[in-house]
Amino acid sequence: MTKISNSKSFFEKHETKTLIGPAIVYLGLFSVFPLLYSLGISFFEFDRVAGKWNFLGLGNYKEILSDKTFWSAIVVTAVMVGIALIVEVIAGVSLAIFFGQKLKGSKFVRAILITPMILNPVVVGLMWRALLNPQWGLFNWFIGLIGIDNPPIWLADPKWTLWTLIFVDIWQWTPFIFVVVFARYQALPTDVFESARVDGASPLKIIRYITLPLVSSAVVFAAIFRGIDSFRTFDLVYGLTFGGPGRSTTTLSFYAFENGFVYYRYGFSSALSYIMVIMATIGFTVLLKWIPVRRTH
Amino acid sequence: MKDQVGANATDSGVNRRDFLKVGATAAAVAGASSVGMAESASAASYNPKKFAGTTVKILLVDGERDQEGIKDKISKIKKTHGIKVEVTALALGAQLEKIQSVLRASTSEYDIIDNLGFTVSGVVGGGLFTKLNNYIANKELTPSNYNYPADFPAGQLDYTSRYDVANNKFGGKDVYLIPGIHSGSVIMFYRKDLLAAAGIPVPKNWDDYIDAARKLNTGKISGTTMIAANDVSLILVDWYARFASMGGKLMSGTPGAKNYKPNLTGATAVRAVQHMIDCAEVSPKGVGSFGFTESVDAFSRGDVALMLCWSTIAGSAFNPATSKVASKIGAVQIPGDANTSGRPIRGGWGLGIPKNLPKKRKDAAWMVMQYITSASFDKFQMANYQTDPNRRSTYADAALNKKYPYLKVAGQAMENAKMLDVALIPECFELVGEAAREFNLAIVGSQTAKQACANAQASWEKILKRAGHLA
Repeated sequence: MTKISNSKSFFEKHETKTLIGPAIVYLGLFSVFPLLYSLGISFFEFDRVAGKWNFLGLGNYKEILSDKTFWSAIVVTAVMVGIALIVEVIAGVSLAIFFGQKLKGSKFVRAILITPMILNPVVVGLMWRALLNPQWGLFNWFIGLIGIDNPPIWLADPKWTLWTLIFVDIWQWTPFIFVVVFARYQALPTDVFESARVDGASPLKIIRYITLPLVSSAVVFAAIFRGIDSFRTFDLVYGLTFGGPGRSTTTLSFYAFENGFVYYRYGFSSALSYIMVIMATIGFTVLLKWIPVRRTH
Repeated sequence: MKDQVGANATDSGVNRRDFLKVGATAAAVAGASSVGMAESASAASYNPKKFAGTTVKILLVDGERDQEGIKDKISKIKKTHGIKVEVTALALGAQLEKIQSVLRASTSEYDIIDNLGFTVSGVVGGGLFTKLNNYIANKELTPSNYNYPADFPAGQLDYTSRYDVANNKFGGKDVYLIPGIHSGSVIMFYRKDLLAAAGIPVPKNWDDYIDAARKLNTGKISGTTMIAANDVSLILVDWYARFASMGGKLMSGTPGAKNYKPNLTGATAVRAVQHMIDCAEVSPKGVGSFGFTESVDAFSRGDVALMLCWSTIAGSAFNPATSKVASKIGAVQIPGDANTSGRPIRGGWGLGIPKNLPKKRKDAAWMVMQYITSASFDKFQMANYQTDPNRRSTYADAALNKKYPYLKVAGQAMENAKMLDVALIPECFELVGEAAREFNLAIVGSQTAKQACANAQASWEKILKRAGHLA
């Protein structure tokens, strides 16, 4: 018979602390501390020549709120997130349902479909710059083949640049929505669909009343992830348009980057980032409450 | 082409004969010797192996071919000095950010840092680099044929070498940087064959330039091209070349007196933007998004007749390996105006040793730095990678000029180039960025030249007030 000791081990005595301790240390070091540090910086401005921080109080925040570039960046970001997200969700869900039909050769096509998502956004930006080059870009060459002789100058005409950016974002990130929704779709029980068919439901009705409600949690999850990511879009803008022409593609993230890393206005950039955090938190909290995620089972 | 070079050189204040005389003198002192010769022929006290066994880390910018020559010479430096050299080359933005952090760390990660001219007031003015006067004078650490300052264009020394930290202004007697890995200014490239066929002389003023561009603009060939994208380092180069050459004065007052005011709404500023708008109409499609690469590529493909560009970037158009029109190109000073000569913008970099290094590392860094800023290395880098030289002896080198005929012109431009006025304040990049955006919008047709200038003026005043340079 095994002798059971009455004395508790260290682990048993400090079970809770031991289990959540590493997570708290991790969060403290890698999330809370940088967040608090950057919050602190947002009340200062760095004097590069003197090498010291000057306290501004709410000066950076006031400057941001009275800065017309900030407001134009909000509009650009909102248009980009809104339109890109809606198209990506519709296209991603449609593709997921389409490829769920197990058509011949679909595995191969699926693999190609998700390739853009794997590419680095800066590389994507540079790649599309080449494709959209008005002199020798393949994109305009294809457009010429279908009879459009004078296509827009995609990256130099302010009327087109934001749409070009949105198009490339859709091209790159629709596969993300597709992958998440497709995974959920594949895991759905088949008996529900079989019953619906036996009951005489048309394919469209099956999609409307069975498929979409069942995959809605995955759609919301993917959309929120994608929305947050799109809200922070910087690298694609950096590689493709550098925020221009003028400010036509300057997103909030790019504006924060520009001030922090090109102009060395660390305080201003931190304050801007904090405003973005607040906006994202409020926006997505409201969104989560607003979008009903149905219970699927 | 020779005549045109001579004519423009006379206009701009340094004639070809003077230039060649200075260059030849410098060449006699510095250019004739290789580093190998320097090791044996220089003063006996020079000890190239004094810091053997150490490692020197260099931080450079990527994309401008600066690191290539050093990489080629790593084994040579190891053999000559016994020092292991490690090179890191980062994209401009990343490099600038890295510099800011390493210079303020307790000890710098890098022993030698290359600094863009626009940033000198911020980093050298901030007292973050080591004074080099004693190193240059130290015969044990510097070969006798190093020839500083005589072999460097004076204007370049007052931009990327000497700095008055106490009064926070360029120039003075204290040396903090040595010009390198490349310097450079803007010159005009043109297609000799196209101008000759059309019977058009090489433009000498801005009105001639746009007239020629319009005449040469056919369906297949664009009259001119520009660096017109809204990136901070791009569009202002072309605008400033026009503005300064038209006699424009960018700033009035001084930052210290808090009356540092831009003159962007003046007639000359508007005219310079309007000239770019006019040029855009006879430039390749999409010129509003053109950076250096797009512009030089279009010219090298043979699609463009006239181009202003940094010679350090566009010099490759003379290289048959990278250009379809290498044998058909001429180069001259940029146009002037009725009463003014061409005044291109001054560019270039300066190598320095961070102040936050222990003395032994600084000494070893200097040993490598004097090598990579030597006359022989300057020639090697130019010959192999066509970056603009830093030394007069290289600009005047006969063999290099035979192969790259634009070199003499580039040397004259370096002697006459003008530093961007606002480079003397740390907010330089921000100002340039704001102007770049507004001018870019004018070029792509979203606003008029006058509106662009008024908007840029307002942005600049706001920035200057915030920074305390304008009351």
